[in-house]
Amino acid sequence: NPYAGLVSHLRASWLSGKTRPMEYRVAQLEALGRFLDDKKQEILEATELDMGKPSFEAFFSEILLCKNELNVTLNNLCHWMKDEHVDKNLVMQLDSAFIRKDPYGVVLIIAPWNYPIHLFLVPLIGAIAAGNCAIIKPSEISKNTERLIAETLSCYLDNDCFAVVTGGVPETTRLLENKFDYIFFTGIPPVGRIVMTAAAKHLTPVTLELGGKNPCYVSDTCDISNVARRVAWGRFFNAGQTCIAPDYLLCTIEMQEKLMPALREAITEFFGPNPQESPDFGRIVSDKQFQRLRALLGSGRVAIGGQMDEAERYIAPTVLADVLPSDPAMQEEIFGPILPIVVIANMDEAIDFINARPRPLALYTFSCDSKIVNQVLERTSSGGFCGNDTLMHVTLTSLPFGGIGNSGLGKYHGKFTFDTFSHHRGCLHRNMGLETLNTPRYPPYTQQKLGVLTATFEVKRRGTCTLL
Amino acid sequence: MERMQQIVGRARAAFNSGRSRPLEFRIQQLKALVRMVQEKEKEILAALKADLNKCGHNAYSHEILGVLGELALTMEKLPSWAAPQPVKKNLLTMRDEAYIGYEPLGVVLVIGAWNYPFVLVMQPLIGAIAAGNAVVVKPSEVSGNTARLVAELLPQYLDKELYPVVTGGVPETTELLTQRFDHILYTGNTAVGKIVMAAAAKHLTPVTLELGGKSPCYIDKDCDLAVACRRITWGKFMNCGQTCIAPDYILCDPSIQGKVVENIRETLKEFYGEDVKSSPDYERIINEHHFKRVKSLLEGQKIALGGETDEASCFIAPTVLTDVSPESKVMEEEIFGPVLPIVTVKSVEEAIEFINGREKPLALYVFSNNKQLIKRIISETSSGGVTGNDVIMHYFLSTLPFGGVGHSGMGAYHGKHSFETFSHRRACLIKDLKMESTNKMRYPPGSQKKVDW
Repeated sequence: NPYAGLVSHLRASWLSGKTRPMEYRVAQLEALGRFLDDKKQEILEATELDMGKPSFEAFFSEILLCKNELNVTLNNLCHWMKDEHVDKNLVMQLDSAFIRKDPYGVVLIIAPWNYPIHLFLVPLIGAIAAGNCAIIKPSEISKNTERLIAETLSCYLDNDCFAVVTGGVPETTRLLENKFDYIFFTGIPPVGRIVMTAAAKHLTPVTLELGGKNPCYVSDTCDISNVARRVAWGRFFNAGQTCIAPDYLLCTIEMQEKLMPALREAITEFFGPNPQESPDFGRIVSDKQFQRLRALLGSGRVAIGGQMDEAERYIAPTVLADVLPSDPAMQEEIFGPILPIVVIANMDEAIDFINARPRPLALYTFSCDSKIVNQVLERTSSGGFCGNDTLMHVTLTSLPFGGIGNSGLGKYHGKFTFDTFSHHRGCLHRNMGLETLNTPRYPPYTQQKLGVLTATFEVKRRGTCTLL
Repeated sequence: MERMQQIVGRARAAFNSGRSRPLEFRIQQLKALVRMVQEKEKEILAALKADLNKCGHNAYSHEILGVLGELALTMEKLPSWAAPQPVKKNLLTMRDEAYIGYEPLGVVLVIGAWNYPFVLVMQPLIGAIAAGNAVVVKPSEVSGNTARLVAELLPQYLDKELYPVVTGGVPETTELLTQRFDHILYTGNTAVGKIVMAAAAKHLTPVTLELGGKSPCYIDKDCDLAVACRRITWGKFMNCGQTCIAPDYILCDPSIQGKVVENIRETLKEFYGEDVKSSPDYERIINEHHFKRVKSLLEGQKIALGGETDEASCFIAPTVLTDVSPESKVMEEEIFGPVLPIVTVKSVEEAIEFINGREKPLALYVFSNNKQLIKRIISETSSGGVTGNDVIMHYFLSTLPFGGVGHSGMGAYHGKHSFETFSHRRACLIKDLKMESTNKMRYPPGSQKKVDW
């Protein structure tokens, strides 16, 4: 077991108790802030090398959003760490009852390649805030960022408590043989299953941030150019390599016709007449992904884009019209700059289409009619939902971010990350005196004792007011 | 395979029909459960007596009272628990609607245990129904009378398709676990907990595992020993020690070990009289397998009190062992019987080190007049839950999450925590289709100006 030594070193640090004091956690979090500030340029460069990530996007997702999470955490850590006192019943009025937030111990964070800093750093913020030690396993596919993290993070964080492990599938498999106290995984569902199965051997709790095909329903009553812009932005951000990107559009044939020129206009507005020359449009991360995406183009007909440049791993912002459910583009999460449009007759058909498929990480609905937005929301299930926009629900740290069913289990962002990495321990601190009050619970049992117990323990249903 | 597929398939179809979602329906089902518990109280108590020799008082106070309380609480609070929760917005979302919606997960599986066979299926069931799910209930076959009764009663009171009961043993449960569920709540032991989680992993099903372990009980020299020992005696020997949060073993200074034994001896007389075996208030070991298992833990031990056994009736007297070695068999696994080992430690530090050198327990108990000491022990250890200066009681406060950590489990329930366990918290952001100008900042072409702003 090549990582046993590392894990037990971190565990020894954990047992020493050094990660528990708030001052320690704050110091480590502030160091992460300095990492983001000092290494900003290197992060922009590495992500550009890895997937042509435009520096505007990289700044937004890898620096700005991360700093937001950091600041929300630092601003509230004291409050989050406090014991949460709870309402007491009659019997416990003189006792102290609270929920203590305990760290788990040594946690493992496995991050993917598409937002390679954000997707390890935001979980790490919560793990540190909650008082844990952590091993970070960045993706080997975004190899420049992987190298940056492996070489520089150790200059900022306490190396006795935080370590970076690099490598691919074999290394991750060996790493997962060890016992961790929590595992946080972001990636695809098949690997999520592998991670959870490995976790089961040690009864390690997990959060799995997975993915799926995020549907985007556009109703007939909507502001077409605004819809086109918001959908295009969400779809083509990071060249489509976003777990919450609108994966496919559902709309009527009339709407498809109206949307097409609007989408074309939005794409031109964003990336100019030749997106390959725009500094604001990314590239596909690897040859393997490029080939996979190329195969998806044989779906429906190419209405916008479709151009490719293998040498650059460039695929133009592409919209496919009249895509059938049986087409390749509808068989897997696209994770690229391709937007299929599937034509449906009406909202009910759209809802049935969505519900016949695995529950997605995100669901989008566009309509000027709020009733339609609410209907789709109420009649479907998804990790999260955004009406009349894409992606934005995950930038609000007060909303939990996570999947359901195949798209994942658990949630994070803001306080939810802190809670994810804490064990909520129910504590009751009783009075040693007043022993006579306990008599009804002790043998020998009598009907009278039972009566007293019932009276003191029972929660009676409050009568419903008949006047209303 | 067919049968399980059909049962779960029917539950899923029933869930997909949407009828379990309206609050009125859920409350109606919960009301039916209240009627069931009230109308069939005699039958429930009889089943518990047949399975565990549980007397009416214990059966009522441990299994029925708690269920009725949970039902009343849930019915009262459900509207507020289920209401969408608005969240704090930022500058960009000021004009939008942002909230967390509580939604059912779908089809939930509840696997019960044999030691409190009624409450351990009912309490999860209540939470799962309240959250709007369909629920497949699998009571433990080891407490066969209660399992049969639950299988008979639930269809009489609840929607038959939404809340089926599946009976059977290991083969049936294994088959059941191949089906896809949207959440599994399992109460039982660590070894099977791993099997359940591995099966759940195949479907990416979230789990709540209520397992066990050895719950330590530290008695400080500075404490009212008579009171402490009475409370410990109550918690240890109720249900013949077959309680997941029973104080498993005692840690104390050697100088008070003798007094602890004497106090327990006195309390036992007070509780059960001179002849424990003839007290109607003392239970029996559930079956011969566990009887043999617990009895074997006594081998080679110093029995300070108790030790009598009777295989024919699965009777084991309340037993205390002194000067127990940490390496002995009785200190290896959860005892789950009326045997209380005392391990001596010379200091609080030694006690903390001892506790931390072992798997995280489901419960931790500390007795001391010194509040600071209690706080210290809580802070320097980890456990599912804690009660200071008493045992068991944190279980009875439904505002506290009840669950384990590490080998003692994951997730929690009781009260609102049940509702949240069985719900999906869906992040919802509803924006205006107008107001496009505020979005222009984020669209390409990107420029330094936009970034600086």
